[in-house]
Amino acid sequence: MHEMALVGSIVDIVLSNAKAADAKQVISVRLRVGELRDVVDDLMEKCFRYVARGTVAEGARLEMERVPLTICCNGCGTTLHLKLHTEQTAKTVCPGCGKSDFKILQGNELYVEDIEIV
Amino acid sequence: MDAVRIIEIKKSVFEDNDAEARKLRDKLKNRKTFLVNLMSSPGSGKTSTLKAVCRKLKDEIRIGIMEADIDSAVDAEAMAKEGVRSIQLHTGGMCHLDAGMTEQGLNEIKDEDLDFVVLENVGNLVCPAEFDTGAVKNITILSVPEGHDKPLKYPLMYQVSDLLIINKIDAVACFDFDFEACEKAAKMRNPNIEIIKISAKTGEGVDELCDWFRAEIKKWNA
Repeated sequence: MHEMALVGSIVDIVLSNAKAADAKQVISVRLRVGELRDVVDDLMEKCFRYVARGTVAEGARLEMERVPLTICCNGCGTTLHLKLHTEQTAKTVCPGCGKSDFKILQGNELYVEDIEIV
Repeated sequence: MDAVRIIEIKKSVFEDNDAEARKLRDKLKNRKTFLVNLMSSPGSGKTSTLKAVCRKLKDEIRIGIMEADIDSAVDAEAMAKEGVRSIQLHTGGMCHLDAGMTEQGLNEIKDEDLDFVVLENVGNLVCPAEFDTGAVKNITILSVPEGHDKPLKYPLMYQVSDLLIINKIDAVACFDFDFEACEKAAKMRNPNIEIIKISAKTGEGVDELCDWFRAEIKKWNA
């Protein structure tokens, strides 16, 4: 649903950087998307195609690199990767010390990493 | 043929909104306005809870309510009937609010002479959690009929919330709501989350909720 709002910001970032680099065409846009972000790839691509029409980013390939959820135990510092949609993350217990008190290291981000231009 | 170049950007899509939200919070600190972002799914009882809280607090604290909906002024009218300054924000189809829209709302409601403003966000457990509105505290309401597993199903909403209000506790006899499981799941998402159980309808727990607001407003103005 909010893919449209996110894509609006993404296209703004892409176009301002493309302009600064004097680009004639944007070929691809690489995003880093944390696992915790509720982002549907298919919808992002559709929204991007729509919003980028008539700009130098029209037709650019959207590449989404998923960043796994990485948490760190506040008790002993052990880090874990979790698959959000397949594991019962609420029942996660630290294999090091047995506690269930974590902080999130990675998995929340939504970054425009880079763009490929000519 | 032109050479292909890679331009490194590494910019968070939320960076601009995050920066706006931070600036807004600074302004609110200077103006001594305590803003909360109230979220939940539709029908959990955001407006009912606000009515119950406003009845108890409006004579001692100057309150403003910003209602956000896709359409209609039902909620703003309901709050105005309670004798509280309220405005209706129409989101134009957007499923959430961001810092820019919140600031526009604050300018309209004129928060300079208000102590406490509540932004009643769009009824939605997904999108509002993604966007910092500039509020001092995020509050989520979960009602008993919705079930105790929502913190498991909607991790981001509970992760970003400072307070979880469990509403409609008067209906607990009709549903299999496991309070312990709900609290455990919510604390897994956010170990610092506070939890208050209420019934906006019967008034149970509303005094405790009002005390929470009083204490937070005092901390904000210190």
